[in-house]
Amino acid sequence: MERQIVHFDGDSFFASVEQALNYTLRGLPVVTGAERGAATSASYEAKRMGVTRSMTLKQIKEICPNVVVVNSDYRAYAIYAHRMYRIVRRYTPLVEEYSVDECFADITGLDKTYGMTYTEIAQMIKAKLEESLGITFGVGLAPTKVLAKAASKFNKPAGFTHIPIERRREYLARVAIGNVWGVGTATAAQLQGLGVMTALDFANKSFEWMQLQQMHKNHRALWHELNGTLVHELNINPDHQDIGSIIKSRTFSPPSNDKTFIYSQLAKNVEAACERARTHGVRARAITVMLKTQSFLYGRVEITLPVATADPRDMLAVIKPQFEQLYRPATLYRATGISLRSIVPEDSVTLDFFGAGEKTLRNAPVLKSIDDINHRYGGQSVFLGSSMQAINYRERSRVKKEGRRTAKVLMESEYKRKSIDIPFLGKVQ
Amino acid sequence: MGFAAPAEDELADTITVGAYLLRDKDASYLLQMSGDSMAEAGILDGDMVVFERSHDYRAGDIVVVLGDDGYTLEYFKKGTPRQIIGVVTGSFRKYK
Repeated sequence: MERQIVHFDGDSFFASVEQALNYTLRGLPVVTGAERGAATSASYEAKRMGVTRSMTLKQIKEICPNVVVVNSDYRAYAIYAHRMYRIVRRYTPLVEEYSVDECFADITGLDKTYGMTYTEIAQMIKAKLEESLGITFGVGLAPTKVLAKAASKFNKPAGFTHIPIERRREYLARVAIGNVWGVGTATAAQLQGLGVMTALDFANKSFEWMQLQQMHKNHRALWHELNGTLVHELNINPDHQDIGSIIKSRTFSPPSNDKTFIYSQLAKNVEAACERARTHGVRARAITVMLKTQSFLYGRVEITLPVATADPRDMLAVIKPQFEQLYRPATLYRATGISLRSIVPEDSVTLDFFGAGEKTLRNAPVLKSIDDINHRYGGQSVFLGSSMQAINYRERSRVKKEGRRTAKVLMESEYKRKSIDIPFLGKVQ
Repeated sequence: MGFAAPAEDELADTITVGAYLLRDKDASYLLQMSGDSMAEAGILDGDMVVFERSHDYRAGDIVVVLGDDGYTLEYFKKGTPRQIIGVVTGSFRKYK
């Protein structure tokens, strides 16, 4: 039986949540990410003005002078994400919480239950999500996850696209190979070198061609998915859930310009962030590295990783050259930090041609041992050499922790650190 | 093999006050009443209002309208061409 997979993708999710929580932002170009100095999300009003997530806030303000830049409020986004998952689960228990703004659902067989077509069922769930949350979703219905994910990107915002197996070619012709889910930058370049420009070009290749090119098994899986055969089952195990981004940052005092010391501080944060990711069974596809100077200025760099990883050695290998660029010998630094972004479950890792993915898989037992030892003996019994200086360093004077921003949308309850889990929208008359 | 502690069983059929106040938690939001326009309905200045984002309301229900100047509550009447975003499902007031 042809499988019926639905992909739900919140349109400009973070910015849309901000607009839903604060009615004065409706209809305005809104960008989230003020606290990072880079856009984490842009509303459709902003996108229509040409704003993209790769721009700096300065560039965004230049092309879109009336833009409203707000801090990211991850607690609010998490509440909306969980509402999305739970609403979809009312229709089927087979839901994969893929990321904070996306999920997959398997609705195969529900046509009999509801006496409706699959298109009607998918649109019914979409309508319920939009009604309940007050934000729109891009929704795709198709026989595989890869096709469903491609489908949800058509006709944004608030689009709905059904790609039945027999009509996949007309849609795949419109998808650049680099935009196919699971195709990394290196793979896209390699495939383009072989004349594969669109998803259709790849789907049209013969299986023999792939063997001839010695395609990795993940790319053979992709080929099957594009041709309508489901290979990637939904991951409905909720272990990795509850996690939107992982940030580790530490202030040190007094400020320092000792390069080795600062790098060591950063390495320690990278190690801690990776350990947290492994505890949750997730990996990051992208990271942001930050150096904060004494004058409270930030140096930061965003890095897309060649392969999703939770291995600090992989990350530090990519970070090191960027750190060299970022570090200024005449500057005093007071903090380093890392934020893991584009977090994915560890079993949905994109492998790349260059074997980076395989290396990551081989390293898994080593990391498992490190985690076991640190769990048993506590703290950082085993750590990377690059973190040593930071770990052995005793803070000479405790720096007051920077105040955590309280979610403005949530009503403070008497329990100091907790907020009511129902969004508070303000006054009514 | 023993039986599960009986207390666990008994608790299975209880809900929290919060859950009781909410019909559909995943569509519920809070607002705080300002003024006395809804005093007749028993919603007083400062009360917390729970509403559900929903198109499912009928004549006599208290609905939430979102206009340029913010949120207002009113009784739904057929033919009201306003931007109704939901229906009030409860309200509460905390004294201490």
